[in-house]
Amino acid sequence: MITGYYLDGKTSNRTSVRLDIFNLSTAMLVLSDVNNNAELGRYNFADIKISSRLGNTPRELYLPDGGLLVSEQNQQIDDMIKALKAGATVSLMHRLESHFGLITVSLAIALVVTWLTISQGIPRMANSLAHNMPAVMVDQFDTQMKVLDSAIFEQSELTQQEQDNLRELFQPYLDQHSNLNPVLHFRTGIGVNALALPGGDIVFTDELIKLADSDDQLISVLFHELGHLEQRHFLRRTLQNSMTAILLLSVVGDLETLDLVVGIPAVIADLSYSRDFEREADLFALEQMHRTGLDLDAFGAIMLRMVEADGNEELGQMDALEGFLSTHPKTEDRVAMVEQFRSEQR
Amino acid sequence: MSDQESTRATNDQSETKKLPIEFKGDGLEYFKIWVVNIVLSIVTLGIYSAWATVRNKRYLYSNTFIDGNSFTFLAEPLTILKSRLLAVGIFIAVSVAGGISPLFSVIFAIALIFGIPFFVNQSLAFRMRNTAYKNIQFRFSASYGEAFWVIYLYPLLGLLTLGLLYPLAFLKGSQYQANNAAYGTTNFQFNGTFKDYGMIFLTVIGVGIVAAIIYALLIGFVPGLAALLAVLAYFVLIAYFIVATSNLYYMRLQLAEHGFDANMTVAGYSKVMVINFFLIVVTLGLYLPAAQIRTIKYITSCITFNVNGSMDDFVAAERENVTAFGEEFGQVMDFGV
Repeated sequence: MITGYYLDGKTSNRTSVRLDIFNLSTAMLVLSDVNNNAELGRYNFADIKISSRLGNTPRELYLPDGGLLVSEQNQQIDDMIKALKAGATVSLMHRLESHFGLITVSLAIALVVTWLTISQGIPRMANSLAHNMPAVMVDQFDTQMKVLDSAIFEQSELTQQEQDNLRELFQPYLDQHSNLNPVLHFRTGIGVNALALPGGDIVFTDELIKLADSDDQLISVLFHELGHLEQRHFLRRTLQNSMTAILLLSVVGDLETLDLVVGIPAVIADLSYSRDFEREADLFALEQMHRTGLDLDAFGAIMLRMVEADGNEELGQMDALEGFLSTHPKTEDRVAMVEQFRSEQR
Repeated sequence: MSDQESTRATNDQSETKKLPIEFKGDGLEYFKIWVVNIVLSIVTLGIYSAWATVRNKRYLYSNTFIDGNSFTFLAEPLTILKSRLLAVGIFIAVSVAGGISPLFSVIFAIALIFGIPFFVNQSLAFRMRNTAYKNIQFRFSASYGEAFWVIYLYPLLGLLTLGLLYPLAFLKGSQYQANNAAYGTTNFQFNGTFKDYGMIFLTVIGVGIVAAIIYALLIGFVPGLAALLAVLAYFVLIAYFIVATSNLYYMRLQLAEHGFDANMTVAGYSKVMVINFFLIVVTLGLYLPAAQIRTIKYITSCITFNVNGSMDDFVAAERENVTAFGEEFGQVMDFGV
């Protein structure tokens, strides 16, 4: 016997009912009103569509005449199915979903697969896409300098002479990488910084120029930015972020009530990608400096000077959480990379 | 005595009965279902995701109760799977075609702009059709023209009038959502006014100006505090806007002689969001399903359904089926509904 309530599907009126087995061998069931024992209908078990068991939610039994029987007696319903249908697999999904060991294994699989996809699969796919993308599509990323000029940058306050000297200093290295179409710009307005845009524009700020105390230091920064261009970091980051978004969307499906927070894992992944790209660009810079015979220590020196100028981040003060939420690797790690690189070259 | 009883009965008839919306879902229980679903989706290369969607939604719907009756989610996984495959197929075809010639992308973009109102209509119809309460389906049917106005023209009007007519865009959006919806044969009606939305916008602007003034006064002396205040004001204003527009929507929503009440607060809503945010970050996203449960619990706990008279008089309309394509296409193309 199963008790529950019956909704005829025509009006919102609700009746308390019971469903009993009328004839076991023909699998006939009878539905009756609990209050007056009046019979409401007889149904063949095979014609009833029973919703699968799902946590502790009430079970829905859709009757062939459009009526609905709702019952919280999940176990009794499973028992009835077993009695009427020999060898039926009852509530398989529910058993999986309440099996502690299986959930633990599922959790582990989900974590490992997601982790491998985000840390290996997506970066590799983006890398191969970025290096094989038709030129038309790459050009779409090319208008940034104008936008930044109108929105953020201000014109450089360096004299024409200073700018010419710097251009002369950088020119040989730009020529080495002419395949990237690098174009040098001097600007101010965003503090100590240098950046490379996907089209090939490389921007140095006045503040950075003034901060450096040797030409080698500036060249090491130039190499770092050329590294971003050479390795198509901007494009790869864009590709990776859209892939993470697709991955997350397919994993979490339709958590539409969470618009504000569902993007957090994506942001964390993006920051991690950004740090990887910085490391790649750092390594590129060190390789180029080594090849051209420049002083490798200049790279570490300018990194340290930038941190000091920034003032926010004391060396050694950046804790694990900050490291996790930062776009760049920790400065001491970047400086340590110089030593590691040097020892590998020997 | 029979006199007394009958008087009370008539009183009960005319009095408003406030029925809370109860959500009985449990974060841990939902998490288990969610994790198993994810793994099965991965193992089946995404095919199972349609079944996963149905199980997730069924869990949320079946745990939402009014007056002891739960909602039911009716969609069939196969319907969702077919639409999902079609939508993904179109997306891939368009991407490939766009790679060959950008002209395809342009043509598709234009087609999409004109297609969106249609898909939004379809999507809402699919959602409502597949929601039932007491074995009676909800319905939604709106004209293409109205959807086009609500999605493009009213917001554009708001933009052209420098925001003066933005409240109108929101009002029309709510009217579109509510007045085209029905429970069985009974239509919903939205009674909000331009003034209701105007007040919300004025409050946001007013508080924004005050915050800006305080910021300007503080920035010279304590820049850290000023920046903190600016960020805080930004998030509080967003929370206020969400809370105020949601409350307004329910309070002005009517279903025949029945109405709704909503009393979400900025503090309550922010608390839920901050806790969710923190736990999602700490668990690298594993808290997502529990966060969803927490959010739904909060929202439903703030809404009541006010019954005037009997709840037993709703009559079902004829059953109709709507394809899931609009919904799935919308998800793939990333336009929210």
